[in-house]
Amino acid sequence: MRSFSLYFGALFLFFLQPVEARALSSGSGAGDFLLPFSDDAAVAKDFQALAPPFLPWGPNTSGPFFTGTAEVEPVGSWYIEPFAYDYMTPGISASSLSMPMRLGVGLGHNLEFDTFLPLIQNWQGAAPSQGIDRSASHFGVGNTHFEVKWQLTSDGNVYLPFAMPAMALTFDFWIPSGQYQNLNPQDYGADQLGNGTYNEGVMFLLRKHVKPFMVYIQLGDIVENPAAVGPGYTFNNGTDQIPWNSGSVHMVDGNLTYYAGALEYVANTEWGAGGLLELYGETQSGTSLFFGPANAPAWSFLWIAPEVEITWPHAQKFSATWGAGVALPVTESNYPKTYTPMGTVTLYFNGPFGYRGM
Amino acid sequence: MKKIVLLTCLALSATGCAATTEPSVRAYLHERKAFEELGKGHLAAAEADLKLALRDNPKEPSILNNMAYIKYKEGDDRKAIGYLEQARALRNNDNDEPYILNEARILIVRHRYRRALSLLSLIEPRRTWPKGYRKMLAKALIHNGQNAKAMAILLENHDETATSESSLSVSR
Repeated sequence: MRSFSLYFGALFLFFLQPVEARALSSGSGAGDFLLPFSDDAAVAKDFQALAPPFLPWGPNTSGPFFTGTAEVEPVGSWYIEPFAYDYMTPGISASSLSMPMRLGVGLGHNLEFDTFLPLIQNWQGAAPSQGIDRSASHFGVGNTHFEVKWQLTSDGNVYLPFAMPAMALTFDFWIPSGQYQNLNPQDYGADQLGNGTYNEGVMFLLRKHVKPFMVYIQLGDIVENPAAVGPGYTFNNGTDQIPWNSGSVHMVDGNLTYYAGALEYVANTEWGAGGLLELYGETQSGTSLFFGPANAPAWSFLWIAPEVEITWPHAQKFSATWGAGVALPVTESNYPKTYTPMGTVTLYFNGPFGYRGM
Repeated sequence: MKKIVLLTCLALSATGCAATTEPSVRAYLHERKAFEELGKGHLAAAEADLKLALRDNPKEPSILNNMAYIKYKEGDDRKAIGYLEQARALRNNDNDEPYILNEARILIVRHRYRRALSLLSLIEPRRTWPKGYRKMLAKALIHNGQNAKAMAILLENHDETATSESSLSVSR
Protein backbone atom coordinates (compact mmCIF):
# COMPACT_ATOMS: atom_id res chain seq x y z
CA MET A 1 0.00 0.00 0.00
CA ARG A 2 2.86 2.33 0.87
CA SER A 3 4.63 1.53 -2.38
CA PHE A 4 1.46 2.11 -4.33
CA SER A 5 0.99 5.46 -2.64
CA LEU A 6 4.58 6.44 -3.40
CA TYR A 7 4.37 5.44 -7.04
CA PHE A 8 1.01 7.04 -7.55
CA GLY A 9 2.14 10.24 -5.87
CA ALA A 10 5.31 10.33 -7.93
CA LEU A 11 3.38 9.80 -11.15
CA PHE A 12 1.00 12.53 -10.16
CA LEU A 13 3.87 14.88 -9.51
CA PHE A 14 5.30 14.21 -12.94
CA PHE A 15 2.28 15.81 -14.58
CA LEU A 16 2.07 18.74 -12.21
CA GLN A 17 3.54 22.17 -12.68
CA PRO A 18 5.68 23.35 -9.72
CA VAL A 19 3.16 25.93 -8.56
CA GLU A 20 0.39 23.35 -8.50
CA ALA A 21 2.55 20.92 -6.63
CA ARG A 22 3.40 23.52 -4.05
CA ALA A 23 -0.24 24.32 -3.55
CA LEU A 24 -1.17 20.70 -3.14
CA SER A 25 1.57 19.74 -0.79
CA SER A 26 1.67 22.68 1.55
CA GLY A 27 -1.90 23.59 2.19
CA SER A 28 -4.88 21.73 3.39
CA GLY A 29 -6.57 21.63 -0.01
CA ALA A 30 -8.74 18.80 -1.18
CA GLY A 31 -5.97 17.25 -3.28
CA ASP A 32 -3.54 16.65 -0.39
CA PHE A 33 -4.42 13.02 0.02
CA LEU A 34 -2.92 12.25 -3.35
CA LEU A 35 0.61 12.98 -2.18
CA PRO A 36 2.51 10.41 -0.12
CA PHE A 37 3.16 12.83 2.74
CA SER A 38 1.26 15.07 5.08
CA ASP A 39 1.26 18.85 5.39
CA ASP A 40 4.20 20.89 6.67
CA ALA A 41 3.00 21.25 10.24
CA ALA A 42 2.85 17.49 10.64
CA VAL A 43 6.59 17.32 9.96
CA ALA A 44 7.14 18.74 13.45
CA LYS A 45 5.71 15.61 14.98
CA ASP A 46 8.91 13.82 14.11
CA PHE A 47 11.15 16.30 15.92
CA GLN A 48 13.26 14.03 18.06
CA ALA A 49 14.51 14.53 21.58
CA LEU A 50 17.41 12.10 21.89
CA ALA A 51 18.18 9.77 24.76
CA PRO A 52 21.61 10.38 26.27
CA PRO A 53 24.23 8.16 24.72
CA PHE A 54 25.16 5.28 27.00
CA LEU A 55 28.14 6.23 29.15
CA PRO A 56 29.55 2.85 30.02
CA TRP A 57 31.47 1.85 33.12
CA GLY A 58 32.06 -1.82 33.72
CA PRO A 59 35.73 -2.66 34.05
CA ASN A 60 36.81 -6.25 33.74
CA THR A 61 38.12 -7.06 37.21
CA SER A 62 39.00 -10.26 38.99
CA GLY A 63 36.17 -9.78 41.46
CA PRO A 64 35.47 -11.63 44.71
CA PHE A 65 36.54 -15.21 45.41
CA PHE A 66 33.40 -16.59 47.03
CA THR A 67 30.67 -14.33 45.63
CA GLY A 68 29.56 -14.86 42.05
CA THR A 69 28.94 -12.26 39.36
CA ALA A 70 25.36 -11.69 38.33
CA GLU A 71 26.13 -10.94 34.69
CA VAL A 72 26.57 -13.78 32.23
CA GLU A 73 29.36 -14.09 29.72
CA PRO A 74 28.10 -12.87 26.32
CA VAL A 75 27.57 -15.42 23.57
CA GLY A 76 30.82 -16.08 21.73
CA SER A 77 32.94 -15.28 24.81
CA TRP A 78 34.43 -17.74 27.29
CA TYR A 79 36.99 -17.90 30.03
CA ILE A 80 39.19 -20.26 31.99
CA GLU A 81 39.73 -19.50 35.66
CA PRO A 82 42.11 -21.60 37.73
CA PHE A 83 41.76 -20.89 41.45
CA ALA A 84 43.93 -21.86 44.39
CA TYR A 85 42.50 -21.90 47.91
CA ASP A 86 44.81 -23.18 50.62
CA TYR A 87 42.49 -24.03 53.51
CA MET A 88 44.87 -24.10 56.46
CA THR A 89 43.53 -25.41 59.74
CA PRO A 90 46.31 -25.17 62.33
CA GLY A 91 44.03 -26.48 65.11
CA ILE A 92 44.09 -29.93 63.54
CA SER A 93 47.44 -29.56 61.75
CA ALA A 94 45.86 -29.91 58.33
CA SER A 95 45.71 -28.04 55.07
CA SER A 96 43.88 -28.60 51.83
CA LEU A 97 45.04 -26.86 48.68
CA SER A 98 41.99 -26.81 46.42
CA MET A 99 42.54 -25.79 42.82
CA PRO A 100 39.22 -25.65 40.98
CA MET A 101 39.60 -25.13 37.26
CA ARG A 102 36.60 -23.16 36.07
CA LEU A 103 35.45 -23.00 32.47
CA GLY A 104 32.70 -20.48 31.70
CA VAL A 105 30.96 -20.25 28.34
CA GLY A 106 28.39 -17.68 27.22
CA LEU A 107 25.42 -19.44 25.64
CA GLY A 108 23.31 -16.44 24.61
CA HIS A 109 19.71 -15.90 25.72
CA ASN A 110 21.10 -14.60 29.07
CA LEU A 111 22.56 -18.01 29.92
CA GLU A 112 26.05 -19.13 30.89
CA PHE A 113 27.38 -22.60 31.53
CA ASP A 114 30.20 -23.23 33.99
CA THR A 115 32.12 -26.28 35.09
CA PHE A 116 34.47 -26.50 38.05
CA LEU A 117 36.90 -29.39 38.19
CA PRO A 118 38.97 -29.21 41.37
CA LEU A 119 42.39 -30.67 41.86
CA ILE A 120 43.17 -31.13 45.55
CA GLN A 121 46.38 -31.53 47.48
CA ASN A 122 45.66 -32.57 51.07
CA TRP A 123 48.24 -32.52 53.79
CA GLN A 124 47.91 -33.81 57.33
CA GLY A 125 50.65 -32.92 59.77
CA ALA A 126 51.55 -34.61 63.02
CA ALA A 127 48.86 -33.82 65.62
CA PRO A 128 49.65 -35.74 68.81
CA SER A 129 46.44 -34.51 70.44
CA GLN A 130 44.49 -36.38 67.79
CA GLY A 131 46.64 -39.45 67.80
CA ILE A 132 48.44 -38.58 64.58
CA ASP A 133 52.15 -39.20 64.89
CA ARG A 134 53.41 -38.43 61.42
CA SER A 135 52.39 -36.44 58.34
CA ALA A 136 50.58 -37.63 55.24
CA SER A 137 49.61 -36.06 51.93
CA HIS A 138 47.44 -37.00 49.00
CA PHE A 139 46.68 -35.52 45.58
CA GLY A 140 43.65 -36.08 43.38
CA VAL A 141 40.39 -34.81 41.92
CA GLY A 142 37.60 -33.48 44.11
CA ASN A 143 33.88 -33.18 43.46
CA THR A 144 32.89 -31.80 40.07
CA HIS A 145 30.57 -28.85 40.00
CA PHE A 146 28.33 -27.75 37.11
CA GLU A 147 26.41 -24.51 36.99
CA VAL A 148 23.88 -22.87 34.69
CA LYS A 149 23.52 -19.15 35.25
CA TRP A 150 20.44 -17.28 34.09
CA GLN A 151 20.67 -13.50 34.13
CA LEU A 152 17.36 -11.87 34.97
CA THR A 153 18.17 -8.14 34.88
CA SER A 154 21.00 -5.82 33.91
CA ASP A 155 22.40 -2.90 35.84
CA GLY A 156 20.03 0.00 35.07
CA ASN A 157 22.53 2.75 35.72
CA VAL A 158 26.11 2.15 36.73
CA TYR A 159 26.35 5.52 38.48
CA LEU A 160 23.23 5.48 40.65
CA PRO A 161 23.03 3.29 43.78
CA PHE A 162 19.28 2.76 43.67
CA ALA A 163 18.92 1.91 40.00
CA MET A 164 18.00 -1.67 39.06
CA PRO A 165 20.94 -3.99 39.83
CA ALA A 166 22.01 -6.95 37.74
CA MET A 167 20.42 -10.11 39.12
CA ALA A 168 20.72 -13.77 38.23
CA LEU A 169 19.80 -17.24 39.35
CA THR A 170 22.18 -20.16 39.19
CA PHE A 171 21.30 -23.83 39.17
CA ASP A 172 24.15 -25.91 40.56
CA PHE A 173 24.92 -29.61 40.57
CA TRP A 174 27.78 -31.50 42.20
CA ILE A 175 28.96 -34.99 41.31
CA PRO A 176 30.97 -36.98 43.90
CA SER A 177 34.02 -37.52 41.70
CA GLY A 178 36.37 -37.11 44.67
CA GLN A 179 37.46 -40.16 46.66
CA TYR A 180 35.50 -40.71 49.89
CA GLN A 181 35.47 -44.49 50.34
CA ASN A 182 38.16 -47.13 50.86
CA LEU A 183 40.24 -44.68 52.85
CA ASN A 184 43.63 -45.68 54.10
CA PRO A 185 44.08 -45.29 57.89
CA GLN A 186 47.76 -44.47 57.35
CA ASP A 187 46.77 -41.33 55.39
CA TYR A 188 44.94 -39.90 58.44
CA GLY A 189 42.09 -38.66 56.21
CA ALA A 190 44.38 -36.91 53.69
CA ASP A 191 43.17 -39.28 50.97
CA GLN A 192 39.56 -38.12 51.30
CA LEU A 193 38.97 -35.70 48.41
CA GLY A 194 35.19 -35.42 48.41
CA ASN A 195 32.18 -35.90 50.66
CA GLY A 196 30.44 -38.49 48.51
CA THR A 197 27.17 -36.67 47.93
CA TYR A 198 25.33 -35.59 44.84
CA ASN A 199 24.25 -32.00 45.54
CA GLU A 200 21.76 -29.63 43.98
CA GLY A 201 21.67 -25.93 44.68
CA VAL A 202 19.93 -22.74 43.68
CA MET A 203 21.66 -19.41 44.16
CA PHE A 204 20.61 -15.81 43.81
CA LEU A 205 23.23 -13.36 42.59
CA LEU A 206 23.19 -9.59 42.56
CA ARG A 207 25.70 -7.07 41.38
CA LYS A 208 25.40 -3.29 41.45
CA HIS A 209 27.88 -0.86 40.00
CA VAL A 210 28.12 2.56 41.62
CA LYS A 211 31.26 3.97 40.12
CA PRO A 212 33.94 3.41 41.40
CA PHE A 213 32.41 0.68 43.58
CA MET A 214 30.72 -2.60 42.89
CA VAL A 215 28.56 -4.50 45.36
CA TYR A 216 28.12 -8.26 45.09
CA ILE A 217 25.67 -10.50 46.93
CA GLN A 218 25.13 -14.25 46.67
CA LEU A 219 22.58 -16.25 48.64
CA GLY A 220 21.88 -19.88 48.05
CA ASP A 221 20.57 -23.15 49.30
CA ILE A 222 22.19 -26.50 48.66
CA VAL A 223 20.58 -29.89 49.17
CA GLU A 224 23.04 -32.73 49.73
CA ASN A 225 21.66 -36.12 48.84
CA PRO A 226 22.24 -38.99 51.30
CA ALA A 227 25.28 -41.18 50.69
CA ALA A 228 26.77 -44.38 52.11
CA VAL A 229 30.07 -43.55 53.77
CA GLY A 230 32.55 -45.81 55.47
CA PRO A 231 35.12 -45.96 58.28
CA GLY A 232 37.54 -43.05 58.51
CA TYR A 233 35.19 -40.74 56.63
CA THR A 234 35.46 -37.10 57.78
CA PHE A 235 32.25 -35.09 57.69
CA ASN A 236 32.12 -31.80 55.85
CA ASN A 237 32.97 -29.72 58.91
CA GLY A 238 36.46 -31.18 58.62
CA THR A 239 36.66 -32.47 62.19
CA ASP A 240 34.04 -35.13 63.01
CA GLN A 241 35.03 -38.56 61.76
CA ILE A 242 33.46 -42.02 61.53
CA PRO A 243 35.57 -44.40 63.65
CA TRP A 244 37.90 -46.75 61.79
CA ASN A 245 36.30 -49.78 63.44
CA SER A 246 32.80 -48.75 62.39
CA GLY A 247 30.77 -50.13 59.50
CA SER A 248 29.14 -48.28 56.61
CA VAL A 249 26.85 -45.38 57.55
CA HIS A 250 23.88 -43.99 55.64
CA MET A 251 24.77 -40.31 55.91
CA VAL A 252 22.18 -37.54 55.68
CA ASP A 253 23.58 -34.00 55.62
CA GLY A 254 21.51 -31.08 56.85
CA ASN A 255 20.36 -28.24 54.68
CA LEU A 256 23.28 -26.10 53.56
CA THR A 257 22.86 -22.35 53.14
CA TYR A 258 25.47 -20.27 51.37
CA TYR A 259 25.84 -16.53 51.88
CA ALA A 260 28.47 -14.17 50.58
CA GLY A 261 28.84 -10.50 49.77
CA ALA A 262 31.61 -8.19 48.69
CA LEU A 263 32.37 -4.53 48.26
CA GLU A 264 34.82 -3.82 45.46
CA TYR A 265 36.65 -0.56 44.92
CA VAL A 266 38.11 -0.05 41.45
CA ALA A 267 40.94 2.44 41.66
CA ASN A 268 41.85 2.23 37.98
CA THR A 269 39.26 1.28 35.40
CA GLU A 270 41.65 0.54 32.54
CA TRP A 271 43.87 -1.77 34.59
CA GLY A 272 41.02 -3.24 36.63
CA ALA A 273 43.09 -2.44 39.68
CA GLY A 274 41.44 -2.32 43.03
CA GLY A 275 40.60 -4.11 46.21
CA LEU A 276 37.73 -5.96 47.81
CA LEU A 277 36.41 -6.74 51.23
CA GLU A 278 34.40 -9.92 51.17
CA LEU A 279 32.28 -11.77 53.72
CA TYR A 280 31.51 -15.43 53.19
CA GLY A 281 29.81 -18.06 55.28
CA GLU A 282 27.97 -21.36 55.19
CA THR A 283 25.56 -22.96 57.63
CA GLN A 284 24.59 -26.62 57.69
CA SER A 285 21.48 -27.26 59.73
CA GLY A 286 20.43 -30.41 61.56
CA THR A 287 17.69 -31.28 59.06
CA SER A 288 17.69 -31.92 55.35
CA LEU A 289 15.02 -30.12 53.34
CA PHE A 290 14.05 -33.35 51.57
CA PHE A 291 15.61 -36.22 53.50
CA GLY A 292 14.55 -35.61 57.09
CA PRO A 293 16.76 -35.35 60.19
CA ALA A 294 20.46 -35.29 59.49
CA ASN A 295 23.03 -37.53 61.13
CA ALA A 296 25.93 -35.43 59.86
CA PRO A 297 26.92 -32.70 62.31
CA ALA A 298 25.47 -29.20 62.06
CA TRP A 299 27.99 -26.39 61.76
CA SER A 300 28.50 -22.88 60.49
CA PHE A 301 31.25 -20.36 59.87
CA LEU A 302 31.74 -16.79 58.71
CA TRP A 303 34.94 -15.53 57.13
CA ILE A 304 36.18 -12.12 56.08
CA ALA A 305 38.54 -11.75 53.16
CA PRO A 306 40.51 -8.70 52.02
CA GLU A 307 41.54 -9.09 48.39
CA VAL A 308 43.46 -7.21 45.70
CA GLU A 309 43.16 -7.42 41.92
CA ILE A 310 44.59 -6.21 38.63
CA THR A 311 43.88 -6.81 34.95
CA TRP A 312 46.77 -7.41 32.57
CA PRO A 313 46.82 -7.66 29.63
CA HIS A 314 43.59 -5.91 28.76
CA ALA A 315 43.24 -6.16 25.00
CA GLN A 316 39.82 -6.29 23.36
CA LYS A 317 39.99 -9.94 22.32
CA PHE A 318 41.97 -11.27 25.26
CA SER A 319 42.42 -10.15 28.81
CA ALA A 320 43.60 -11.69 32.04
CA THR A 321 42.49 -10.68 35.51
CA TRP A 322 44.59 -11.52 38.56
CA GLY A 323 43.42 -11.67 42.15
CA ALA A 324 44.84 -12.59 45.54
CA GLY A 325 43.59 -12.45 49.08
CA VAL A 326 43.26 -14.23 52.37
CA ALA A 327 40.11 -15.42 54.11
CA LEU A 328 40.18 -15.08 57.89
CA PRO A 329 37.80 -16.62 60.42
CA VAL A 330 35.29 -14.27 62.05
CA THR A 331 33.07 -16.72 63.84
CA GLU A 332 32.38 -20.45 63.69
CA SER A 333 30.30 -23.11 65.33
CA ASN A 334 31.44 -26.75 65.32
CA TYR A 335 33.88 -25.74 62.59
CA PRO A 336 37.64 -25.28 62.88
CA LYS A 337 39.31 -21.91 62.56
CA THR A 338 40.54 -21.85 58.99
CA TYR A 339 42.92 -19.40 57.33
CA THR A 340 42.80 -19.41 53.55
CA PRO A 341 45.33 -17.68 51.30
CA MET A 342 43.84 -17.51 47.79
CA GLY A 343 44.91 -16.70 44.28
CA THR A 344 43.29 -16.75 40.87
CA VAL A 345 43.81 -15.76 37.27
CA THR A 346 41.01 -15.55 34.72
CA LEU A 347 41.83 -15.78 31.04
CA TYR A 348 39.06 -14.14 29.01
CA PHE A 349 38.65 -14.93 25.34
CA ASN A 350 36.24 -12.25 24.26
CA GLY A 351 33.91 -12.60 21.32
CA PRO A 352 32.24 -9.75 19.46
CA PHE A 353 30.14 -8.80 22.48
CA GLY A 354 33.05 -8.52 24.91
CA TYR A 355 33.12 -9.72 28.51
CA ARG A 356 30.45 -10.04 31.19
CA GLY A 357 29.11 -6.82 32.65
CA MET A 358 30.92 -4.47 30.28
CA MET B 1 42.35 -0.84 64.27
CA LYS B 2 39.19 1.28 64.48
CA LYS B 3 41.14 4.29 63.23
CA ILE B 4 42.42 2.36 60.23
CA VAL B 5 38.92 1.17 59.33
CA LEU B 6 37.54 4.70 59.74
CA LEU B 7 40.30 6.23 57.63
CA THR B 8 39.85 3.57 54.95
CA CYS B 9 36.10 4.25 54.83
CA LEU B 10 36.69 8.00 54.61
CA ALA B 11 39.25 7.57 51.84
CA LEU B 12 36.93 5.27 49.87
CA SER B 13 34.01 7.66 50.26
CA ALA B 14 36.10 10.60 49.18
CA THR B 15 37.34 8.76 46.12
CA GLY B 16 33.82 7.60 45.37
CA CYS B 17 32.46 11.12 45.53
CA ALA B 18 35.28 12.31 43.30
CA ALA B 19 34.43 9.66 40.73
CA THR B 20 30.72 10.40 40.63
CA THR B 21 31.46 14.10 40.29
CA GLU B 22 33.55 13.63 37.19
CA PRO B 23 32.17 16.19 34.69
CA SER B 24 31.26 13.58 32.08
CA VAL B 25 29.40 11.45 34.65
CA ARG B 26 27.65 14.46 36.15
CA ALA B 27 26.56 15.64 32.69
CA TYR B 28 25.30 12.17 31.84
CA LEU B 29 23.20 11.98 35.01
CA HIS B 30 21.67 15.43 34.41
CA GLU B 31 20.99 14.55 30.80
CA ARG B 32 19.23 11.33 31.76
CA LYS B 33 17.07 13.18 34.24
CA ALA B 34 16.23 15.81 31.63
CA PHE B 35 15.25 13.13 29.13
CA GLU B 36 12.86 11.63 31.66
CA GLU B 37 11.39 15.09 32.32
CA LEU B 38 10.92 15.61 28.59
CA GLY B 39 9.00 12.36 28.40
CA LYS B 40 6.63 13.72 31.03
CA GLY B 41 6.34 17.07 29.24
CA HIS B 42 8.08 19.02 32.02
CA LEU B 43 9.98 21.42 29.81
CA ALA B 44 11.16 23.85 32.48
CA ALA B 45 12.62 21.10 34.68
CA ALA B 46 14.23 19.45 31.67
CA GLU B 47 15.77 22.74 30.58
CA ALA B 48 17.23 23.34 34.04
CA ASP B 49 18.84 19.89 34.01
CA LEU B 50 20.11 20.29 30.47
CA LYS B 51 21.76 23.59 31.37
CA LEU B 52 23.58 21.83 34.21
CA ALA B 53 24.57 19.07 31.80
CA LEU B 54 25.83 21.58 29.26
CA ARG B 55 27.96 23.26 31.89
CA ASP B 56 29.78 19.97 32.48
CA ASN B 57 29.82 18.73 28.93
CA PRO B 58 29.26 21.47 26.35
CA LYS B 59 30.31 19.16 23.52
CA GLU B 60 27.64 16.47 23.75
CA PRO B 61 25.41 16.81 20.67
CA SER B 62 22.43 15.06 22.26
CA ILE B 63 22.31 17.70 25.03
CA LEU B 64 22.34 20.45 22.41
CA ASN B 65 19.67 18.66 20.41
CA ASN B 66 17.38 18.41 23.42
CA MET B 67 17.92 22.07 24.27
CA ALA B 68 16.88 22.79 20.67
CA TYR B 69 13.81 20.65 21.18
CA ILE B 70 12.78 22.69 24.22
CA LYS B 71 13.44 26.00 22.47
CA TYR B 72 11.43 24.84 19.48
CA LYS B 73 8.54 23.86 21.73
CA GLU B 74 8.74 27.30 23.31
CA GLY B 75 8.59 28.89 19.86
CA ASP B 76 12.14 30.21 19.87
CA ASP B 77 13.18 28.85 16.48
CA ARG B 78 16.28 30.96 16.20
CA LYS B 79 17.79 29.48 19.34
CA ALA B 80 16.61 26.01 18.43
CA ILE B 81 18.39 26.19 15.09
CA GLY B 82 21.46 27.60 16.81
CA TYR B 83 21.70 24.60 19.13
CA LEU B 84 21.20 22.17 16.25
CA GLU B 85 23.91 23.88 14.20
CA GLN B 86 26.28 23.45 17.15
CA ALA B 87 25.33 19.79 17.49
CA ARG B 88 25.90 19.25 13.77
CA ALA B 89 29.30 20.88 13.93
CA LEU B 90 30.34 18.48 16.69
CA ARG B 91 29.48 15.43 14.60
CA ASN B 92 31.41 15.45 11.36
CA ASN B 93 30.33 12.03 10.16
CA ASP B 94 27.02 10.28 9.45
CA ASN B 95 26.06 10.69 13.10
CA ASP B 96 24.96 14.23 12.31
CA GLU B 97 21.80 12.97 10.61
CA PRO B 98 19.37 13.34 13.55
CA TYR B 99 20.41 16.98 13.91
CA ILE B 100 20.12 17.71 10.19
CA LEU B 101 16.65 16.17 10.10
CA ASN B 102 15.50 18.05 13.18
CA GLU B 103 16.75 21.36 11.81
CA ALA B 104 15.13 20.66 8.45
CA ARG B 105 11.85 19.95 10.25
CA ILE B 106 11.91 23.37 11.86
CA LEU B 107 12.77 25.01 8.55
CA ILE B 108 9.97 23.25 6.68
CA VAL B 109 7.42 24.12 9.35
CA ARG B 110 8.54 27.74 9.07
CA HIS B 111 8.34 27.53 5.23
CA ARG B 112 12.06 28.14 4.77
CA TYR B 113 12.22 25.53 2.03
CA ARG B 114 15.34 26.64 0.23
CA ARG B 115 17.45 26.39 3.38
CA ALA B 116 15.78 23.09 4.28
CA LEU B 117 16.64 21.68 0.86
CA SER B 118 20.28 22.70 1.04
CA LEU B 119 20.52 21.14 4.49
CA LEU B 120 18.86 17.88 3.45
CA SER B 121 21.06 17.69 0.37
CA LEU B 122 23.99 16.97 2.69
CA ILE B 123 22.59 13.50 3.29
CA GLU B 124 21.60 12.68 -0.29
CA PRO B 125 25.00 11.38 -1.49
CA ARG B 126 25.35 9.02 1.48
CA ARG B 127 25.09 5.28 1.00
CA THR B 128 22.16 4.88 3.38
CA TRP B 129 19.45 7.34 4.22
CA PRO B 130 17.88 7.69 7.64
CA LYS B 131 14.27 6.63 7.98
CA GLY B 132 11.88 9.41 6.94
CA TYR B 133 14.54 11.27 4.98
CA ARG B 134 13.16 10.35 1.55
CA LYS B 135 9.80 12.00 2.18
CA MET B 136 11.34 15.10 3.71
CA LEU B 137 13.68 15.58 0.79
CA ALA B 138 10.86 15.06 -1.71
CA LYS B 139 8.77 17.59 0.13
CA ALA B 140 11.59 20.13 0.14
CA LEU B 141 12.19 19.52 -3.57
CA ILE B 142 8.54 20.09 -4.44
CA HIS B 143 8.51 23.31 -2.50
CA ASN B 144 11.55 24.39 -4.49
CA GLY B 145 9.85 23.55 -7.80
CA GLN B 146 11.82 20.39 -8.50
CA ASN B 147 8.96 17.97 -9.04
CA ALA B 148 10.76 15.66 -11.41
CA LYS B 149 13.62 15.19 -8.99
CA ALA B 150 11.15 14.66 -6.15
CA MET B 151 9.59 11.84 -8.18
CA ALA B 152 12.99 10.34 -8.83
CA ILE B 153 13.80 10.46 -5.12
CA LEU B 154 10.54 8.76 -4.21
CA LEU B 155 11.11 6.00 -6.76
CA GLU B 156 14.82 5.55 -6.11
CA ASN B 157 15.87 2.28 -4.56
CA HIS B 158 18.09 3.45 -1.71
CA ASP B 159 19.00 1.74 1.54
CA GLU B 160 17.27 3.17 4.58
CA THR B 161 18.33 2.83 8.18
CA ALA B 162 16.41 3.41 11.32
CA THR B 163 17.67 6.27 13.48
CA SER B 164 20.63 4.85 15.38
CA GLU B 165 20.06 6.70 18.64
CA SER B 166 17.00 6.09 20.75
CA SER B 167 14.70 9.03 20.64
CA LEU B 168 11.57 10.52 22.01
CA SER B 169 9.20 11.90 19.39
CA VAL B 170 6.67 14.32 20.76
CA SER B 171 4.17 16.23 18.73
CA ARG B 172 3.95 19.92 19.24
